[in-house]
Amino acid sequence: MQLLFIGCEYSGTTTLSRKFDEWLTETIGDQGMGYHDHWKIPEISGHPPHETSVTILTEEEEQQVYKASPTVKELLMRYALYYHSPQGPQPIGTGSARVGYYFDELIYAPRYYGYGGEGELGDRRIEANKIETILSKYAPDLVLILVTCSPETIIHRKKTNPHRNEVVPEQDILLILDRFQEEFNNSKIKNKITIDTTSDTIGQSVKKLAKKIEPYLSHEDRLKLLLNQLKQ
Amino acid sequence: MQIILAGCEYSGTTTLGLELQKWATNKLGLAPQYHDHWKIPEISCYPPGLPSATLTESDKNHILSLSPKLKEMIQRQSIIYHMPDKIDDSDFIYIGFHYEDTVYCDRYFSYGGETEVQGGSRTNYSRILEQKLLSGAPDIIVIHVTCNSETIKKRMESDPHPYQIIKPQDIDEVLNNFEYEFNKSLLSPLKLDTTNKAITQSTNELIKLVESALSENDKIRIQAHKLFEEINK
Repeated sequence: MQLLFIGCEYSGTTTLSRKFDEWLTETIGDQGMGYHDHWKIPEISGHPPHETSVTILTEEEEQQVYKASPTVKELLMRYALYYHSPQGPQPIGTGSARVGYYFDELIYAPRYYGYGGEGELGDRRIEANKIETILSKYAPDLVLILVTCSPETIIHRKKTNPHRNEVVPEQDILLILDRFQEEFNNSKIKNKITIDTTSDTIGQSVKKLAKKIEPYLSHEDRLKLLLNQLKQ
Repeated sequence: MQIILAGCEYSGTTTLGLELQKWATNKLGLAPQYHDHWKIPEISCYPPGLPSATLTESDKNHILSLSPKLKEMIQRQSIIYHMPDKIDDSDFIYIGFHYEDTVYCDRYFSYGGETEVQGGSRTNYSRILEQKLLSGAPDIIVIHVTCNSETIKKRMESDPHPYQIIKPQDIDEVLNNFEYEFNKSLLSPLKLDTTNKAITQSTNELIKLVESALSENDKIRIQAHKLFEEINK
């Protein structure tokens, strides 16, 4: 199963994707999908929860990324985007969860990182179109999950549990929520799900997602589900 | 036409690569993509026809100051970004590519050695990359450009690179490291020695080597282009 979680910072993409990964492991038996949640500068390396901390950047390294010019940041992120895009047909049963990925770049880069706007260096619209073409060729069953919530919920989460390297300032929340909705609507990915986390606990959100994902389970996923149930 | 030229700094890869690009453009009627950016800090790449930028001196110094972990990440991801795809059979000339990264990474940039966590040591990871290359570009031509250490020293003194990687005292070892990597390579590399040779002579030898290794498809393309040119005279 290949999943792509997107949404405004604090909407719950990271929490939901991790909990859903646990649910998949318990229910379907997928043992830890390739998990890529490293698209918000400067947190651009490392694969928690499935990898030791050795590849996570130190604070000093994060500063090095922060201080890079837009030109260098653009290069770094473009290489990373394509490195994490399928490079050929995926073996049956390949599991992966990407969080943010080219949507984060498309929305955040022109506004916060100084590159990637229309006609600018590293125009992320062009890159996003190229990546969607690759995905449609090599990962046609990928499911795009828009995680959303009310602006008030984002403000609340921002205050109670602020991120170390926050990207979205409070005054931009509405705009960024709209931008994710807009890009979600425009995306050529055919399998799409929306999850609103405004008033749900994480457990409730996982249940909702599990229900919505069923139509997109592959034949192999369904077989794995049956086998896993037999084992229990 | 998909070609990698690689070898020790100052062996002549860049000079010959540019000459080869002219030749290939003339023979095919269109310019192969040319990528010569795997020597840290000169790592920038912009697709043709799109807005591009030049790395400033400040950018280059910043790249040099990045931690080994970040340098490793950038180079690994850059190599995969440039990995040919069987579906896209565009012509290209790559200078250095994974061979350079493998030879220079541990000695000069402190990553990619025996304890490397990302993909293991580069010398082993290179073979994985080469399997991908064989799969994505089965007709790829690889040329190991080499020369003796005296020639390297002479070129280093007469025309030093702004961000020179190799140190004079390392030349013999680096040459041996390239030799080692090419001996282990899965891509059946051909060899060109540029010692004491003028650029024209080395270019002619390089073209002969490339011609000897061209795929049937590329031979047909060259013949068809020649015919097309004659018809349109």
